[in-house]
Amino acid sequence: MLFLAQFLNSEVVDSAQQTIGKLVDLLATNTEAGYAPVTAIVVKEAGTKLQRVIPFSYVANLGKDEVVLKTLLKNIEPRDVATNDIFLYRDILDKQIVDVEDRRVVRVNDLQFGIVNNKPHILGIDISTRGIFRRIGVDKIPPFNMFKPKFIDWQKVQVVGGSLKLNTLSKELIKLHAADLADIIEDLNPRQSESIMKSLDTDTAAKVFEELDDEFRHYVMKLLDPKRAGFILSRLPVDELVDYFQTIPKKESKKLMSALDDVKKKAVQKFLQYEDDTAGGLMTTEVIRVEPNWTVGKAIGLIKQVSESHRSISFIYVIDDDGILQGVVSLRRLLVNKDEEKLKDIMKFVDEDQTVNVETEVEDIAEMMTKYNLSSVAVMDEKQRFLGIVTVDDVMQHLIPDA
Amino acid sequence: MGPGLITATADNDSGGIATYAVAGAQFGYSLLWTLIPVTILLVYTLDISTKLGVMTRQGLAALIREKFRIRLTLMLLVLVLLANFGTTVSEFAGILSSFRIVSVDLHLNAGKIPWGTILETIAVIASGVIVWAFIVKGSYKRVEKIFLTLVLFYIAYIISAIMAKPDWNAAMTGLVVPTMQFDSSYLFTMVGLIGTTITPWMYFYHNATVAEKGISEEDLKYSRIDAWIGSIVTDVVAFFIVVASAATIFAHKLVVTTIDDIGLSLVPIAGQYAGYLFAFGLFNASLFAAAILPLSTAYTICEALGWETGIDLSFEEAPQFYSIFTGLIVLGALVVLIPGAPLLMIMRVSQVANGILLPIFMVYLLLLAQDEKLMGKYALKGPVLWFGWASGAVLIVLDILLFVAPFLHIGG
Repeated sequence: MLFLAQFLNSEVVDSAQQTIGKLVDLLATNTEAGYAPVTAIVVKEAGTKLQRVIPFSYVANLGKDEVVLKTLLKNIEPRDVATNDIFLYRDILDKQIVDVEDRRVVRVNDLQFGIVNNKPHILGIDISTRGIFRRIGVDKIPPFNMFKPKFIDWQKVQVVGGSLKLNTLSKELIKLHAADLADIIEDLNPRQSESIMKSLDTDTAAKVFEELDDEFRHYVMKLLDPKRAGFILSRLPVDELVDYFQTIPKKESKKLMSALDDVKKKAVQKFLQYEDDTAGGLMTTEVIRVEPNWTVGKAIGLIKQVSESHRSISFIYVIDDDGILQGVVSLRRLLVNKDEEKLKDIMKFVDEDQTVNVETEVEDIAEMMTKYNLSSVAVMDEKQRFLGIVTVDDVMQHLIPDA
Repeated sequence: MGPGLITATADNDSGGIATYAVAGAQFGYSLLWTLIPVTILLVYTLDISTKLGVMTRQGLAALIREKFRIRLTLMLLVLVLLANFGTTVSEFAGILSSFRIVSVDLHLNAGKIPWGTILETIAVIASGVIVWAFIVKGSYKRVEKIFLTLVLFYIAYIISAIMAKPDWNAAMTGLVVPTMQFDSSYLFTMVGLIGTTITPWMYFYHNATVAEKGISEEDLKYSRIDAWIGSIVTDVVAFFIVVASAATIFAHKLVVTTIDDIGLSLVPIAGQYAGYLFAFGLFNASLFAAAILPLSTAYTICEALGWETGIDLSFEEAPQFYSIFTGLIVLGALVVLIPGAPLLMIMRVSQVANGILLPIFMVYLLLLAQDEKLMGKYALKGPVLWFGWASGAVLIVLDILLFVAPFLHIGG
C-alpha cells in the first residue's frame, strides 16, 4: 500500500541522478465521480523558495525514499495550477473532510494511493491512530503497530475548503438529510460552512438552515451575502422564521424581515408577540383550510395544488365562515371516500378539550398530546377561532432543543 | 457573561492559590506589582484566544494541527498531557488540603481513630466521583451555570483578606511600585506567579468554549469584553489572596511552606472563620479546576488527533475521549491518596512540562494570531504584535532563569 506520508520529503532526482529538490506536495485532480488521479508533483529546490509543479507524466518511479524523473530537468515543462487541482499536503492532510457515508466530519491523518489504469489515484483517507504513527515513521514498531488502519473510501468523502472551488457538491452529500448536513456544517470552519451553504440549492439550504442550532443560525446567516440570505429566509415557513427572529436582536430582525413578502412579514410580526414556550409561539399557521361544503375531490385538488409549500400534510382543517374549526379530515379519510362526498359528512369533530389557546404552555400541550394520543393540536383564539396547529415535532424541538 | 469569566476563574486553581499565598507569606506586599503586567498579559492573550475562537470556530488544538502539522502537534500534546496530569493531581491535593485545614484545626486525628484522615480520604474520592458525574451526566450548559455560580465563592478570599486587617497603604504601594530582589527564591516565586496565571491549558479551554458557541463577528466585542473582565477578576482575587497571607503570615514572621500551613496560620491570627473561609475557597477552586482540566485535556488531544469528542457521545462512539478524562480523574485522585505515591516528583515533572510548554505555546499562539488567513482583519500586526513577541521573549528569559537558577545558586 502506498501512503502520502511515505512520499513527503522524498528526494527528487532527474534521469541523470541529479538532485532537483524535495517532494513537498502532490497534486490530484478533483473529479465528480471515481478516484482522483495524481497529476503532478510539487518539488521544492533545496536552499531556495522555488517550487516546481512537475506533471506526473515525467515521473519514472515514485519510490519511498527517492522519486526518479524520466528526463533531465531542463527538458521538463512545469505546468500551471488548475482550478480543480487539489494540493494533497496543503489542503487535505491534517485538515477536516466530510465523511459522507457516516455523516460526520473527520480529520485526515494520511492518504492512501493505489494504481488504477496504470496511474496512481487517491483511494482513500486514513483517519486512524495508525495513520498518525505512520506520519512520524513508527507505525511498524511495537507497540504502535497494534493499531489498525481505518480508511474511508475517497468516493465517500467530500473535500471542502482549500483553494478548491466547490462547483459541485457530491451527489451523496446532497442526498443526506438536512439535519445531518446541518450537523456537518456546525463542525466545519467558517470558510467551509460558507462554501457548502453557497453550493446548496436554495430549498435545501433553507431546510438545512432550519435544522441548525439556534446559535448557529445567525452565524451562518452572517456568512452569506444578503441576497442569498434573503432567498433562504423567504423559503422558510412562518413558525421557523418566528423561531429565528426570536433569537436575534430586534434591529437585525427588522433588517432581515425586509426580504419577506408582505403577507409573511405580517404573519411573522403577529407571532412575535407570543412567548416562545406557549402554543402561540410554537404553532404553525401553514395548514390547509377547507370549507364544510367542499367535496373530497375539491379538497384533494387543493392539496395537489399547494402541497409544494407545506412541510407535511396529515390533516386538513374544516373552517366555517366565522373562522370556527368544525372538524378535521385525515388524508386517509380523503383517500377512502368518494370524490363527491361532502367534507362535513366525513370530517371528525374536534373536542374542545383537545384544543389549546395561544397562551397554553408547552408542558400542558405535551401532556394533552400524550393523554389523547394526538400528533397535533389545534390552537384557538379567545373567540374560539382557529389560528393554527402545534405539532408533536414543534413540541419535541422545544423540549429537546439539542438533538 | 461567559467563557472568559469561567476560564479566568478556573485559572485561580489550587496551584494558583498556593502560589499567591506563598508569595504573600514570604515576601509580603513586595511581589504584588507583578500582578499588573501579568494582568496585561492575561488580557492580551485571552483576547487573542477569543478572536481565534470566533474567527476560525475551531479549537486551538485543531488550529495547531492544521498549521504546524503532526510532529509539532504531537510534541505539544505530550507536554500538555504531562503538564495537565500534574495540574489535575495538584487540584486533588488542593481538595485534600482544604479538608486537612479543618481536620487539623479540630484535632480530628487526636483520638484513637484517625477521623481526620478518614474524612480527607472520603472527601477526595467523593470529589473525584462528583467531578466525573458532572462531566458525564450533566449537560454542558448546566455545568456552566453551576460554575458561574461558584465564581461568587471567590468573595471568600476578599472577606478573608479584609478580616486579616492588612496595611492597605503598604499593599497599594506594593502594587504600584515595582521592586526587585535578585535572589533565587524571589525569582522562583515571581516566575511561579506568572506561570500559574498564564497556563496553556486555560487557553485551550477558553478557545474551545468560544469556538463552540458560534459567535458571529459582530458579537466579537462582547466576547472580548468578557475575556478582559475575566482576566481582571482573576487578578483581583489573586491580589486579595496575596494580601491575606501578607497581612497575617508575613507580618507575624511565620515560616510556612505548604498551603495547609497557610490556612492554619490564618486561624490564630485572623480567627477561625478566616481560616475556614480560606479552606472553603481552596476546596471550591480545586473542585472547579479538577472538573475543567481533565475535560479540556481530553478535548484538546482528541481534537488534534481527529478522535471523536463530546459528552453527548457514548463511550463506544468516543472511547479515547472518555478514557483520557476518566483516566486523569482516577489517577489524579489516586496519586493524592496513596501513601508514598511520588506526589512531589509528579508535581515537579508537571512544573517542568508546564515550564517548557509555556514559551512554546506562546510562540504557537502568536504565529496563529498573526496569520491573516485565519484571523482576517483581526490578525495581529505592528506594535500590538511586537508587544506579544516581546512578552514572549521575557517569558522565555524568566523560564530559562528558573531552570538555570538552581545550578547557579543565585543569591544563595
